[in-house]
Amino acid sequence: MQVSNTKLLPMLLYFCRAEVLSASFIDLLLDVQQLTMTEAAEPWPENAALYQQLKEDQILLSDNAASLAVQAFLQMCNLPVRVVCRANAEYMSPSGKVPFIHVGNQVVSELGPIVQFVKAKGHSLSDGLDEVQKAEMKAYMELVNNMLLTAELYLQWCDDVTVEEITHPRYGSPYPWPLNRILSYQKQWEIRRKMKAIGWAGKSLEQVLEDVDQCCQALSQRLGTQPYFFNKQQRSSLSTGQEIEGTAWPLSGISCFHLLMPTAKCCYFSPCNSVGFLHI
Amino acid sequence: SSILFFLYLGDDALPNGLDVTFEVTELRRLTGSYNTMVGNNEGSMVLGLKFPNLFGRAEKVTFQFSYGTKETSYGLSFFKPQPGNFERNFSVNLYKVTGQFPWSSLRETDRGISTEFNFPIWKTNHTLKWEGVWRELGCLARTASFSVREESGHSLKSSLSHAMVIDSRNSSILPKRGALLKINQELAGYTVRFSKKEKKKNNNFFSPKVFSASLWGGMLVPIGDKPSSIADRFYLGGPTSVRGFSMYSIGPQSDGDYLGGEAYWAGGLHLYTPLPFRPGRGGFGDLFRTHFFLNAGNLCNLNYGDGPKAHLQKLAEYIRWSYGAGIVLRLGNIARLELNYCFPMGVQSGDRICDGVQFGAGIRFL
Repeated sequence: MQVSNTKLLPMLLYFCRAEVLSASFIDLLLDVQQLTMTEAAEPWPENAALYQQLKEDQILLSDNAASLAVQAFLQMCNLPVRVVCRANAEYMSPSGKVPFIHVGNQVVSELGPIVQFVKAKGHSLSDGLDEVQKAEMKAYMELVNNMLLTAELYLQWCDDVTVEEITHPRYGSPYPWPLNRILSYQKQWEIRRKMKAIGWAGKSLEQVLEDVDQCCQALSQRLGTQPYFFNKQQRSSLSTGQEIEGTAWPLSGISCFHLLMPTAKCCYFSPCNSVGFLHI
Repeated sequence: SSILFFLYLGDDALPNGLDVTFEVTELRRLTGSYNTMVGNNEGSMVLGLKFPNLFGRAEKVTFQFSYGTKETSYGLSFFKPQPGNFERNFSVNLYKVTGQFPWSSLRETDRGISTEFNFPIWKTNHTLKWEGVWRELGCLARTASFSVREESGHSLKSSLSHAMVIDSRNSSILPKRGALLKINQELAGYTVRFSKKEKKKNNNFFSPKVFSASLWGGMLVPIGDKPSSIADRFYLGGPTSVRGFSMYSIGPQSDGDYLGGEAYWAGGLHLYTPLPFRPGRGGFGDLFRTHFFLNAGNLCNLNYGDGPKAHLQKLAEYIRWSYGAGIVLRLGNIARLELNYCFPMGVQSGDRICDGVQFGAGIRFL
């Protein structure tokens, strides 16, 4: 695979107002089948809040995607939540990861536990999948999580150009000197150690992009010409054009899930009447 | 070591001239210490190193490192007095300390550098200090209230402070006469901006019964829009301040976590008498005293838009107070232990009390 300009990719991803929906969002698409309210649903409080870093200056690609994923999920469940931006959201979170929601007296962070929490509250989603499909779904979810999310982190913290030009200035922006430098170096060291542990530290950018390409191809193959990954039902709950975070969600028309590669090649899943998408 | 006096009979001797010779043993160039400490479900190993006279003019360098099961902390300090004038000195400190505050479900880690300059002016002692601290706050438990969770994170504090102390007491623990006045101002910039004043006054007269009165107060004023941080606010209550209440458990709170207040005052009246029937007189018994006390105080947040009259009114409503009696033990000249029976009064909803027997150990008591 030829890489025309490796420096362009990270900048494109930021500057084109693209909110890259991360692998976790694909989980959502796979998980959400049909909206039903079970009878024992607990009331959802009015003042439920979702906390993330500052939108304009601070938040990074992977965190933004995770936050959008949770917002999308809650919106699909018809659970209103207001988004609160705090510079210290990452440290407020009980697990150290954003986003987290504050519902009543409880604080739950990350998409997985939030889905479980919502399920436990009774606003759950019926499951129309058989065992084989469930296993397949889990496998694809793991693939996407491990590959795409890790690639995002690699791009943000291990690619020197991106780190210097985008990540460091953004991550430390709410703090005065020298604290901004100290915190972003601390985070970079932590992520690089993680990358070393999973064996990604030795990879070059080209190799990472190749892995992402393969992942997208696998998903693309799975989707084929179907409208959804695992269920043929049409979605009826979403009305036209809801705006979330400036990303429009049209139902009608063709939308594609792409990941723009530095070569002109676009890897996409298929035209579909999908719920969520990335537009560049 | 000894001091020898000789009558000087040389050619240039004065009529009453004396030749004084000081015979001393120099301190070792480097001293070290190693301690282990156990307490409160935590064990730690403390290593200390000291150069008492590094360059020959009483410069002192100390290094302390504490490695514990829960926390690690260290401190490096350089102290230099002015030659010939020990009271005038300056020191530079580099440190990392961690603290756990269960009354607020808060954990704090401070890494900082400070320089301090001490000098006496007439009968007062002044300290001018600049401090730069990288402060990290976190929740101590998952059950911490959301107000405390909101304060988690990192901040940088750079502050300039001045303290003035006048101390005419004849002992710092259980003095028999004298008074102490300490006034402290601090101005901080960067992400935290405030000014803090604290006054302490202690007036003691005549033994063997000693009557003592003390008054503390403080105010924290945020500059600009940023609210004050939980780590900078004042706390009140406990065996070392208003007795009869649990440790720092007076004032604004959220779900059982105490958030501190921006203004406070506290006062105490004590009567110290020797133990009844004077057991162990002349020896161990002299370290003990019985005391009767009356403490009062208030801690709240002020609305700085209103005038000073409104502030005074706010500090005067909902006064917490307590009275009782107990036994005090003096430990060296540094610390004291107390065992009291307390009756807390004026308790507001949200305060945590400790009525009945309360034990306290510390250095600074109301």
